[in-house]
Amino acid sequence: MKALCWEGVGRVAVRTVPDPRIENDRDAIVRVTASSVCGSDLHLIDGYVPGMRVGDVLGHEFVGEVVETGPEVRTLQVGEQVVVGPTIGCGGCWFCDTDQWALCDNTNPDPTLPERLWGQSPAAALGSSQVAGGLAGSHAEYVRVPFADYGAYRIPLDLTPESAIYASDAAPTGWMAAEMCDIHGGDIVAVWGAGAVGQLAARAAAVLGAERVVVIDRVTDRLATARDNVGVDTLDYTGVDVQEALLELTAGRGPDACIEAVGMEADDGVGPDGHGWAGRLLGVRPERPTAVREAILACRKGGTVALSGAFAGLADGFPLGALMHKGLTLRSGQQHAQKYLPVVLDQMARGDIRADYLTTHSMPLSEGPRGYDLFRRRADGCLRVIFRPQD
Amino acid sequence: MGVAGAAVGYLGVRAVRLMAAVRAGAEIGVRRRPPAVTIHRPPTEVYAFWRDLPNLARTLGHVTRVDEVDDRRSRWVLEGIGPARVEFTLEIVRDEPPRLIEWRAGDELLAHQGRVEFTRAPGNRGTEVRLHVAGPPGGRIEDLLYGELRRVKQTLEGGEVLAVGRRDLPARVPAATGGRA
Ligand SMILES: NC(=O)c1ccc[n+]([C@@H]2O[C@H](COP(=O)([O-])OP(=O)(O)OC[C@H]3O[C@@H](n4cnc5c(N)ncnc54)[C@H](O)[C@@H]3O)[C@@H](O)[C@H]2O)c1
Ligand SMILES: [Zn+2]
Ligand SMILES: [Zn+2]
Repeated sequence: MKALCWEGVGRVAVRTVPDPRIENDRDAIVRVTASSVCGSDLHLIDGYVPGMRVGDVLGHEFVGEVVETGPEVRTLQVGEQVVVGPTIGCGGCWFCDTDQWALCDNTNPDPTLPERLWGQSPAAALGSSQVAGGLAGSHAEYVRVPFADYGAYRIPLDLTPESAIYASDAAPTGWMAAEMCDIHGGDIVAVWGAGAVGQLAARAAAVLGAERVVVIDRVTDRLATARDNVGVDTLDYTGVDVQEALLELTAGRGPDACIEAVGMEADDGVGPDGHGWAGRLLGVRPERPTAVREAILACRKGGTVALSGAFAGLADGFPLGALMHKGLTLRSGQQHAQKYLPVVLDQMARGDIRADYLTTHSMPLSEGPRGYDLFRRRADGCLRVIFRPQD
Repeated sequence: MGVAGAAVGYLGVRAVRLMAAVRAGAEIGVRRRPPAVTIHRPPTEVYAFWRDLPNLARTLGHVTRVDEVDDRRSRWVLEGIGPARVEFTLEIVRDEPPRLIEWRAGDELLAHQGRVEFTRAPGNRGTEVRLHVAGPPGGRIEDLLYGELRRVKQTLEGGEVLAVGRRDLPARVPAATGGRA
């Protein structure tokens, strides 16, 4: 079958790879009809995440049709249209049992690398690096979904696949970010990043009762989309001093909660090559926690900073002083798809969360490299690209 | 500070940060994992799973066959460790359900004494399982244990040990389409 593979730092290509097959009794094979790009893929493609191997199949946010099920699959039927979350949960460990599915103990077939990097291994995820199990992703004609009873959800009839696809990852991530903010009446929430995750976090914050939501980015068409579709205020950080603007907006208090939806490749005015030859020589690509710093500095005393943007290793210049002396709560995590996916599907069906507008580009999988090029450069108004592997 | 001074200062800060990151990175990952896991099941169930040796053997890697000779002794056949095939007799020398099982096994390569302990984990966390094994120095046993414990945990909690999946990608196939992304 055809699949979009990682080819080394900065490069992807469509290649012919073996079809997946049922390997475990609880696996399902899904024929992918649409698979979205995600900010996380950029971190993988750009070489910030250890454990990528040439040939790894990318993609983790997708919809499709169940075409085969293992003998122990109980709830899914062949022929059903499903949306599938990226992280794989076994359903039986303490973490799955307590609804912390992204922390599942059992699904990473080889936890050596994450245990060395982080002390413990989180759940496996589709279309990621070996830190998350190295399972093939969804930018392909077919994908194997382990523990499919837990990870795959039937798409409600009244939802289009173009909306439902974001119930896989972007919407649950946004919902979890807003939930981590523990929003109370009167709360003002600031969101860094106007990508799909930031926009859906902003929407979730509004649904969960925020008084006012402000989204911060530099990409003007993304900010415009957020104003039009999410109904939030926006700040362009290239035009205003964000700290000052937030103080003004909150009359000196600072936002009650701050959501970081940018991640390790944040714009820091220097860019990836700012660390130049020294970084390359030492074999490190220092992560850029620019937006985390901003969020911590802006947050009101006693407030909450929710970290949704992804980080993999080490980040410098972290404002621990502000965190400590302002008594902030820092919360974070990969989203627990099996917990939040049903929640956001429900919100979508009720019309409280809209996601269809996020797809600015749709193309056959064969145009994958072009799609990622548009997404990376945020060119042509690109917010999300979905690939159609069956075309 | 002039522009040049600022630039030098800036580069200096970058270099210091980079070195700090490298140093912190080097300190990561030089740790051995002790063969201990917490299994989210009650001790009686974990003990029973372990004490049923043919059942246990189905979960362990490398074991191709187990025959119980009597209620203490069993014959084990392993493959894929060292020589093509290893056979030995294992004898259970202490059995205290659901707390502890202790055994002794023959054969030079894998000769060892082992003990597995099951204790109730705090709260609702299940069972703490700890393995203690004494074997020949530099023996392969210790290296295998943590991995085997994980397999037992996966089977008891999730019902299966997840396979990595196919990845027999040809080394170099021509790209259908490709390029910088
Ligand atoms: N926690 C999870 O489970 C989870 C799930 C999905 C994605 N993510 C992560 O969320 C992040 C966002 O994902 P996405 O798909 O929306 O990505 P995206 O690349 O589309 O969006 C990132 C946005 O951040 C903006 N940005 C960059 N630097 C900034 C700065 N200094 N201040 C403010 N904005 C800045 C960019 O202009 C861009 O619009 C990524 O790090 C991704 O890995 C996490
Ligand atoms: Zn994602
Ligand atoms: Zn689990």
